[in-house]
Amino acid sequence: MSATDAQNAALHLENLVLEGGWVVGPPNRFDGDHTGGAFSVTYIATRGDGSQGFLKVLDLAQALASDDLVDTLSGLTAEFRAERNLCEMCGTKRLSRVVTAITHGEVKVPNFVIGTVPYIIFELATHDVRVALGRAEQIDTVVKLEYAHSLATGVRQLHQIGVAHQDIKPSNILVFPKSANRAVGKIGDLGRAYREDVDSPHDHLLVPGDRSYAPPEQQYRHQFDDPATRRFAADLYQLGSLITFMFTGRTMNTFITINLARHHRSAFYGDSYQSVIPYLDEAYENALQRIESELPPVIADRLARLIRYLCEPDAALRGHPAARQQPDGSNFSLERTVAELDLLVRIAARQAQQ
Amino acid sequence: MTLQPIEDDREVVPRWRSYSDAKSSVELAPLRQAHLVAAEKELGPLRAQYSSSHDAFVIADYLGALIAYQVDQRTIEPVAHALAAVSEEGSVLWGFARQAIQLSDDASPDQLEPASIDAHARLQLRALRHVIRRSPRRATFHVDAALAHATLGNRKSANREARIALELAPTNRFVVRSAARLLISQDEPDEAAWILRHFGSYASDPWVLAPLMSAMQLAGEKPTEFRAARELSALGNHSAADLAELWAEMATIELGAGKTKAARGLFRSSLQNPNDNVVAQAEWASKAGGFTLSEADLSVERGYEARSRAFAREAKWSQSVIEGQAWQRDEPFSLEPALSTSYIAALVLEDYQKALDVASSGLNFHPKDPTLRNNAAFAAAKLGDTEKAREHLRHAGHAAGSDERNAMVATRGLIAFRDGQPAVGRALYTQAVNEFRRAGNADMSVLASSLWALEELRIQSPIALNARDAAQEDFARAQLPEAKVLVNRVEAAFSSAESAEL
Repeated sequence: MSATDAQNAALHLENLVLEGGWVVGPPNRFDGDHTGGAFSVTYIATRGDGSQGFLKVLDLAQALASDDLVDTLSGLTAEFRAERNLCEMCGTKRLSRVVTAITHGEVKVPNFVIGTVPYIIFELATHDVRVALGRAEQIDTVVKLEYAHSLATGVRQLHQIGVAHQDIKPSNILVFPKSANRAVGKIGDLGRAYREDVDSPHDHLLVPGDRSYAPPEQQYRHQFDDPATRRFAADLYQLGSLITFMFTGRTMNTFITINLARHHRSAFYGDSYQSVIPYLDEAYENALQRIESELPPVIADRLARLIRYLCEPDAALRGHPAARQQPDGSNFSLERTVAELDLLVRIAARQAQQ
Repeated sequence: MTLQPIEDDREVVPRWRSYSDAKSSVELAPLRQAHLVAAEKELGPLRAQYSSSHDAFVIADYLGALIAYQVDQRTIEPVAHALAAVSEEGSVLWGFARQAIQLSDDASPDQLEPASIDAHARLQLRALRHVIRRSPRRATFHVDAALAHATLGNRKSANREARIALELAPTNRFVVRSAARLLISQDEPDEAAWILRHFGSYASDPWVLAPLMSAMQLAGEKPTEFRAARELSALGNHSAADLAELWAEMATIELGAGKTKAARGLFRSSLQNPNDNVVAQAEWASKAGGFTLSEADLSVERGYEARSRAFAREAKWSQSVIEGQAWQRDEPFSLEPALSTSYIAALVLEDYQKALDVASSGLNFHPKDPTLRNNAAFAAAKLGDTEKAREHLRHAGHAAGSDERNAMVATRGLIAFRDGQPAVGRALYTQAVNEFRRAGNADMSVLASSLWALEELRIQSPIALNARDAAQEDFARAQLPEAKVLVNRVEAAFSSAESAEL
């Protein structure tokens, strides 16, 4: 442990009692159950009634190691504040498929140089979706579809309040105990989210989330003028990509990369996004063909159709075909997608019972 | 008799291959390269989770990110093996792991030898129709459909598909070059130039400027873009590979203007990092330009045309035909491989069935080409199918050149001989030989006389000697290596006939 770490209270919160009676447990190792982010430390916190929460604290000490202390510090606090406010809003709006904050605050820990630690306590998930998919004895089609339905519902709930998540990836989909006999997943980590009503710290970034999960327009460094296309269409892509991952173990980006010629892959292609679209289109069709062949036969056709319109490489063409034909409303509305996934759950469940 | 294509007007017109064949080629590489490296802050957490987890989907997530970030295959493979180890054999994750392990093979599609060019095109078209019905907005599929239609000779459909592709992706290089090539193959170079000028970004893209200049040359326009080409090659900061076609076309224009030294320099530049089209252009120009190509140049990938031409120049006929057939499979809608390959196969190798097959494939897209019809008629007549031979000549369009017209007269002579009308055949051959002589074309005269002599000998006519003498008389002034092949053949046939008499 470095001298800085020894003086950093964020790393020494174990056994501390926070406001509301939350007792902080040992810090999380990076065990794959949760992601905290580059500038945060996470713990499990427990209350007297036995309920548990996921504690995320801001690690201000890491800013000290940066080359530009002032900007890094101000960026960090802005991000933390934005996430905290957004989580608060999601809680207020009662979004059932978004991981919400139970409480937040600041704790002052005596005898540390960096002794003030801002924190947020979230509801605690069982696992992230990758672990759930991998560990369960038999994750069947129905359960996967229920996760997909939860995820689509969560994204729709966010979009309905003018929020785009911008970083939907497997580690951010958290699994909770079954509710009403259905598997429940929720979207976590709103640290990269965009809000229509308030400026967010990541608004200026071309790729707000992880690049390896980013939609093609971000991978190929293109920024649409229309904020809806820039933000909400990106969520649709990541939603479709994650559904693909749940059924095939590969995101859409992995499929597309494999099907592209090497010099057309985003890591090497320096020309414009518009010029690469026909090449992406071809790779995408091949990818869809492969994906459909790997989906459970009972829903393959319908689910492939759903993935197709969610992950369309040209963001301007993304979205449910019927939504795109509506004179009013958003091209990127997820109402029909959620309904279609609900139907698929029922079809798969009926088939499983036969 | 068959006729070889006139070689005085080759330009650097773009190749047109199916997208799956073309996508890895340098023609479709971006002008600007990116070198994005994997971000440690993104891969780091996934690696940490991978290191501490045996969960298959956690490993798959990390493996997918490694692939998306295009990290080195040596990093990918151990992760793929780890995924295979925790996955059930035959499961989707196991399939993913196997796929990732094989990525170093760079996903080159299986090269299946089609049963025939037409059958392959029909299969392609059937598959494309299915895809296009499902996804009508994918430009590359429409280009591929246009190519399949062109291969099968459906010009109208080919043009319709190319137009749709242009509407969908008007600035895409693959689409624009393919559409231009289709028009050039239909003898509409002015239309091709219009498309390249209005849709392609020719001012900044040498891969569009080169075919634009070629199309303008073929359309008989002045090379007004030459200055732009010089500036682009000097100031555009493009690689030698990106400039190769442009340099080759500039060299061709200089050569046409009699500036041989300048042309040689430009050809030398174009051969620094050439594609097969550039090598073919240089091979075509090598005689007039006074330079030779190296073995390495000729071994360029898909360099069928260059090798076919080079082998023919060296009188290596069988190899030339093999390369010519590969050239035709590569560009089935193109007239040139059909002409040159059917010519050599029939006239030199006496492989009339092969000649007829090659010519027939070429006729799909060029049904009225008089030279190709004539070559097909010659091969059919030699095979004894004079009805088919006459039909080919009936469908031949107007022959603009006197050589073509005279070759057809000679072929009619052959048909008459094979129909048992030697007097008619004799008259037609005589007419053809006289016309070739009048035009001072000793090569053609030798070829026509030799073929005539062989027909007279076949029916044991005393006039065979006259025809042979005519061929030998003109042979002194002939230059084509195939003239020698035919004169030798005639001499061998006469020797053999004399031996038989004895």
